[in-house]
Amino acid sequence: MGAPAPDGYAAGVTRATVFFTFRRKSAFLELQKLVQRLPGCRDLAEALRVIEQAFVASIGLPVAIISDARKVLHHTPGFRPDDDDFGAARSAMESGQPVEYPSAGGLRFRYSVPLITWRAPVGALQFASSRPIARRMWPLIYSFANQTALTIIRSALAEEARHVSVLFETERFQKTLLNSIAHNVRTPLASIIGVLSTLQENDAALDPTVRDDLLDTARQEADRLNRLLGNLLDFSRIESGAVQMRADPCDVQDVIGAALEQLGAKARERPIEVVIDPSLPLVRMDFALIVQVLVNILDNAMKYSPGSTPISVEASAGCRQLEIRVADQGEGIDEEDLDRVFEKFNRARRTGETGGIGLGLSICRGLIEAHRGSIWAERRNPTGTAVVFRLPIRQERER
Amino acid sequence: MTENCARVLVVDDEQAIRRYLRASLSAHGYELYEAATGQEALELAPIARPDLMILDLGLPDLDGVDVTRSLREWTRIPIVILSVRSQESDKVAALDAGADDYITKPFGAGELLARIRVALRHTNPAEAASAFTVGDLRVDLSRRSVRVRDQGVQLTPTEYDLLKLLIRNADRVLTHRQIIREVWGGLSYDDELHLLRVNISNLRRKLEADPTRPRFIVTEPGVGYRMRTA
Repeated sequence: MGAPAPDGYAAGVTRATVFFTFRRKSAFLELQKLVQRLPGCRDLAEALRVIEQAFVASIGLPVAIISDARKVLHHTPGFRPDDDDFGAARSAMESGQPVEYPSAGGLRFRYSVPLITWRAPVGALQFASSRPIARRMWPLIYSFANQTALTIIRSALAEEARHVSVLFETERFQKTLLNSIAHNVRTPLASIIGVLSTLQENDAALDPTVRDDLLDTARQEADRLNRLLGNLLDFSRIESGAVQMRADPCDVQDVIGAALEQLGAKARERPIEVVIDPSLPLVRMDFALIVQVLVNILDNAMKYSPGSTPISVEASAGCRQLEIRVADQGEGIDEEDLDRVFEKFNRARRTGETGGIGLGLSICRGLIEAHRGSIWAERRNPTGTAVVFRLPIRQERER
Repeated sequence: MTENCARVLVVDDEQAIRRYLRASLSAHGYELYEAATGQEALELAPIARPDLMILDLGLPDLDGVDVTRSLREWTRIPIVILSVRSQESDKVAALDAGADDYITKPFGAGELLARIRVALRHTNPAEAASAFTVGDLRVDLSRRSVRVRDQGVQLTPTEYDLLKLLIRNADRVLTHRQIIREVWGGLSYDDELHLLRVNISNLRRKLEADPTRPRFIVTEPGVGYRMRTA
């Protein structure tokens, strides 16, 4: 050990060794307590700390746990392994046998015990004493080594399992995404290609109104493709954490206005009531992203409620939060599905062919959460859905 | 509409886009030059002497923002930027570097032609009239008078300056930074952005019939504002 152990420590260790026979029973009791405590440990670090404390309590010697990658996983305070110890640990792991080696200082007798599992050794247990270790102590020490080895390998296996399940989840997700994209790209493309080929082949023979109708269709489908692509792009930026957020002071009325503007004719053909609390301050947010959130929510509200029914947008402030509520008078969402609409690819079941791949609200949730806000859906009485989001208001100058 | 004979240099590496622009712009009487890279554009511009340039932001060799900067060292010709949706910050950078306007791909021919007309108009100072009328908004710059629906409107000096700037650049996008530079100068960008938002909001309350659905002062999310006359 690099720094010689403090004198007090060495003295304590000597006493512990003298009284070892007395303590033998209590030492095994410590081990038993340890075995009971280990499963309750939250992580590897906590488990190794518990092992180290039990080792010191029952054997009375300082200990260090070294991994197979020459990493010190845990050690008794003041007992940090040095190069000699790493060397000994390596030969212990290679031979599968404990190694005894000398060292200067109070704790002259050093030991390295390999942590053996059914796979390769996962590390070594290092400890030191001022006198040779009595033979009758070894079974106890081996028990500690076994517990340590089991703890480390269990943690490694858990980590691998978690990794595999993430991989599986990602793969399943990508498959769903790809299928969904393929379907949603092919449908509008089919009609665009159809229109183009019709025009190419029979342009002269076509009635002008039919021709205009065809062109309108192609244009609408192309716009739909473009929106889909925009959503996918936003989605992948959110998923990869690549969204760069601005936090500019924004006028809520302006944000709502920009969203309505972006929705264009769709929003003009529909009665939309906007109520904005006149005392609202400017609120810090990423203007363009919150406009996107509102566009997605409004688009949904329009899609899932009858064309003549009004939609309301209310903005208010309370408890240092901005709240925007978009409510429609559609059929509403079943209570148990209210949260699911924010999950990827989860369109409300009854909606049928309304287009889209169910990413809109999940994008909204991603963007709102990136603003440290919250978003949820409510069932309205007697009918309809309200999608509500809140953003924190930082202390700003009043308007 | 073949009275135009303005020369337009189109810079885009996508041949399909160049073909589409050639077809729709020539049909309206514009004379077209084409470049596929930023370098080509920089070499061609002084020779062809175009009246306007359509510049794609995502060129294979040079950054569109850099091309804009190089051009602005020697020419004031209007530059209309072509961008895609994920290039918000580049778009603003190009506008701040001196580009005149932008349009987002995919775009319709009508939209592009409108942008081109506006950009060409702003190079012609003879058209900078002192009276301005859109719908029921009348502004007489020589008399500092603003009327909406035949009612006089009282504006603060800042609101008036802001309105004047927007009118002088009618139909053209102005970035936050450009407006702040013209109207406020000095302070930190953040403070002034705050003032800008408040003043726009006040202007709309005084001028617009429905400030939530502004007819005159339109917001370009993440970019700036535009005075709309069409």
